[in-house]
Amino acid sequence: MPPALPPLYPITVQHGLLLGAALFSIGLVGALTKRNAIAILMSIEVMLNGVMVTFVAFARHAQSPTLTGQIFAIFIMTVAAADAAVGLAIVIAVYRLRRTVQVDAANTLQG
Amino acid sequence: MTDLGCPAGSPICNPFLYIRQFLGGILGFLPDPLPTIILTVLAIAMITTLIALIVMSQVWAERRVVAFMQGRLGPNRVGPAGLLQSVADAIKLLAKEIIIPYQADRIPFMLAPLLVLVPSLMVWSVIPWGPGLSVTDLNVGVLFILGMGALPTIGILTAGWASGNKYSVLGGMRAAAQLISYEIPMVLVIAIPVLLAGSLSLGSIVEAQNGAWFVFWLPVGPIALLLFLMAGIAEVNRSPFDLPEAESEIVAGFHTEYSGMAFALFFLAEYANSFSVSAMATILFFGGWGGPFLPPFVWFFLKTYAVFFVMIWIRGTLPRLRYDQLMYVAWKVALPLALVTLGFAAIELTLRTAAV
Amino acid sequence: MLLPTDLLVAGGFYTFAALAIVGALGLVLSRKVFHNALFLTVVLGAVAGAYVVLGADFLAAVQILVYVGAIMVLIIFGIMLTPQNVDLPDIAGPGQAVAGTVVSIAIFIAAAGVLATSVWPRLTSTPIDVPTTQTIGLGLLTTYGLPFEIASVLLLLAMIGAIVVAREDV
Repeated sequence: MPPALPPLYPITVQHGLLLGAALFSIGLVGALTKRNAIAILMSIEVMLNGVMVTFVAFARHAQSPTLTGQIFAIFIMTVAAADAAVGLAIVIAVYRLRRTVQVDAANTLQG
Repeated sequence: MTDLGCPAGSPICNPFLYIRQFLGGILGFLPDPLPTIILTVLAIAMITTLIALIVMSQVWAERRVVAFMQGRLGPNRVGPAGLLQSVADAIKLLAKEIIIPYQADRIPFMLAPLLVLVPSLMVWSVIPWGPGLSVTDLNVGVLFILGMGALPTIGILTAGWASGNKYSVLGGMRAAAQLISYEIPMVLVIAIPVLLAGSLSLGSIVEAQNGAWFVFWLPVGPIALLLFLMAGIAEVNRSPFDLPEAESEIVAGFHTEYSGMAFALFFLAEYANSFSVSAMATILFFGGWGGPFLPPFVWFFLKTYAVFFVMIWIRGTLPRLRYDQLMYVAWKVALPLALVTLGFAAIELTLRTAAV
Repeated sequence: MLLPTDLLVAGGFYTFAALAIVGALGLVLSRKVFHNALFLTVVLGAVAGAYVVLGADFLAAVQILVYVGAIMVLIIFGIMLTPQNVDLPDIAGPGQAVAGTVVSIAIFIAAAGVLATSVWPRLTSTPIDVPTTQTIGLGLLTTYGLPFEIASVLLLLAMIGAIVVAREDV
């Protein structure tokens, strides 16, 4: 099928998915280019939010009315919370050793 | 309960509903969603003005009542019985210069009071003043209020950090730690009236208390009310939980560097928050706007002000808790008690509905 | 003239989508880590608004309560507990920045291409007549009971793990 832009309105499933893809890509830019460990964690949160938007868009535009997408989005939120907690604990532990949160500092195993 | 002497449809009992129907009839010629939007904007303007007036009356009431409890008079010069004291305070705060310190981060510094004030005002869009008298009745109303109660924490952290001052950062972190510690017992205790009413929408919770108020469901009601008041007072940073902002402690905590209108916004947010905690206590435990003989919004106002009076009373009586005592109470007393009470409420609800 | 609700829904969606994308771009482009945190708050709030437009009201309220109210506070506490004396440059070297941006744009173009060319069984929205809160609650306890229990065990493990890792070795 030739690629077709979705119409401006009504909101179709493609709008929601495009928003999810955009948030995911922008978060990926942050996760790949930043040097501060906490900034990388925040970019990963943006990526997870993009994925959640994708699930909710699918739940809204499903073939039969279903809320599975929203339930799964709740699980993603739970996992994101656990990952933020453990990630920040690791950052604080590294800070205690190296007095910095730049990811370049944790390079003892490098080379 | 509203039928005793005050029939629900009459204009005297419910003037705001009558005005809304009248205006809705006038605006009927506009295309479809516009009348609803215009009426909602008018309702929001009315509620914001009302909250501003209520906050001014709260400041006066608190100073007079605490003064009488301490054996002195309180404001009694400006206006009859000192009633215009709040007006004088407002004019003074408006006229003061907003000083932004050199080391402060300007944009977060000016943004932080908004982050604290806007959620406090948004809570008022779902609180019902009478049957059908809220700006909107969300069917996740209780969760919306909890979410709006969690947002000021970020504002306080931003205020503390953006001031560029060690004492502010420390004060901000202490205040934020207190707020998040007391959020957990508060969420668990709010789940009890939600469980007993079977709905998250505030209008349904009030209507489910038509027979008996939730505070009278004997073992769990009073304990839930006490826990809610404790968590609510801690969430609002009032005495005896006001260590983060006490003047004798850490200069003034997170709002050390704020002066003038920015400080006025923090002040306004604190009193609006304490009034919304009182309003939530009446809706969740004391039957909201229900009551015989008087119009419903008068009952709501009287009950909420009674709960606020109890909060002022607690302020005038109890000494301030030290920070580690505060954390001890949150995690080792309030949280287990809230969990156990929630469990008992579920068991009691099952037994009551099975017995019927 | 009747203002179509589709237009209002589209307007709401575009507003929140634009806000989310602007917030995410601000997060990536700003240098100081605290500003990144404030932009992340904007993104999370805008995504909650998008959920409301997409019919997920319970999820929007939970997003504000959990993500903005708790996870953001955790991240800001992490920022405050790790102050640095010198503001070191935030972006990794120019080669890595360019490579990262190119990879992300490539992934976005690939995803957008797949979206635009695939055949969707249903394009417009399904009206959801069931009350979302009750349905999600029932689903979490019956159909999705196992992931629910595993999620609670996961949170307990994360809490214990975070405390153990970040504790001072006294």
